Amino acid sequence: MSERTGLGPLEVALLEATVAMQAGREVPVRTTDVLLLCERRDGYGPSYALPVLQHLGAWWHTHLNLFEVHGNWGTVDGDPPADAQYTEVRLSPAGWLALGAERGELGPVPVTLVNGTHYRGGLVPPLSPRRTVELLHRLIDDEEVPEEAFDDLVAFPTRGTIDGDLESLYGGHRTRILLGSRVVREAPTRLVITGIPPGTSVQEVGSGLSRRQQPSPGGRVSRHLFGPPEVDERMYGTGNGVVGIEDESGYDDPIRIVLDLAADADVDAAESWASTVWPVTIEAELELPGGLDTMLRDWAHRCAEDRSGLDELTRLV
Amino acid sequence: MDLVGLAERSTVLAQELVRHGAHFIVVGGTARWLEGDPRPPRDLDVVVTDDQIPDLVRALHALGVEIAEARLARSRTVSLCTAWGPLDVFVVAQPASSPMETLAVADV
Repeated sequence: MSERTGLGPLEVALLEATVAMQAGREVPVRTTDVLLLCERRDGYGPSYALPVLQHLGAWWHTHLNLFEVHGNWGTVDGDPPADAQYTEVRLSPAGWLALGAERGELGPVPVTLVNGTHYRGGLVPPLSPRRTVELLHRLIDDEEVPEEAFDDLVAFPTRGTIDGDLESLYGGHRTRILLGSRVVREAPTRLVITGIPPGTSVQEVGSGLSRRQQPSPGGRVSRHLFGPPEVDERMYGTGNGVVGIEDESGYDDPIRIVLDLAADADVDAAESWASTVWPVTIEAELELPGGLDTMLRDWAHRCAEDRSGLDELTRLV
Repeated sequence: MDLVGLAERSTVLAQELVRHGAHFIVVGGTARWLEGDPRPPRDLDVVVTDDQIPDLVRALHALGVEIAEARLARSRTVSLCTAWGPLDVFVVAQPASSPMETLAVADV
């Protein structure tokens, strides 16, 4: 892992291959050409490299997209991207910063501190880009950082929520965390999901809600078999007043699932019911190696000698 | 929201499957949790025999999960997503003198 960005060798190889194909121009180049060059130069086959490229070019996977992409790059709805021969890529402004840092033309840029590794199956969650650079500047300037500065610092690109033993997580322990959907009350009888857990899709969340909202035919099974009755009641509720579920996601609003409630619905109960639906809420093991404070101080230390990379990133986010 | 509440999802899924006519044995994390293990399960793992596949597939269909009997029979291990969480199905050949079916119904 690079000391200057936190990127791995495959990610750096993709940056280098893309910029080599661009040959000093701003125009995007065929994804296939980038992959073939990456294989020729560094030995990474396209089936290794393409998923990495896709993650680093999709807003729903990473905060700092290192690539700008043209063509069908998949969707937050879970649709797969088109074949590499039908898409194009070029370095994004963040990609140029990362490459500059890797080449020593700029100071370190904390790409992996912000993006984490969870998007690629790792344990480290992403951090809010703006909050992270603010904190790094404060740490470099030896300003006092209050405890509450860490609140909501862990933030996923799909704007889901995190809940659980955050103290343990921030302390550097591997911790089982609840990753939930962000629910907004837009009206007395309307709940709107505007953020979903990472790794899920709008389609999956909407389908899960619809399946559970259907009244179950044939009555209920005995509810005292497992767990306390009140938990079962939540599980078996046929929507707790939810009378309609609409996927209103669109280009400008890519995550928007609307739950219409009956006029007499208990909004708290409906929201609680929705949270029990998979994958409205999922669980994941997360870890911040060494603890959040240590990770931030480590990057502050790296950036302190030459703040040019951090300054550029601050302007970008 | 508490982890314990969500931990119920996999047991409720087991109940729903049984209610819709499936027979199986619960194994893995959910089985441990039902036996008193404090760690909440991540998913539901069930074991079925070949002749229990049709009932399981019908129950899954009733819960909105589409899977072909042939896929289960061929793959033997299948991971599925349900609105109650992930479900792993393991298909085994029925031992000659196994009380599997009886146990499955009684336990769930």
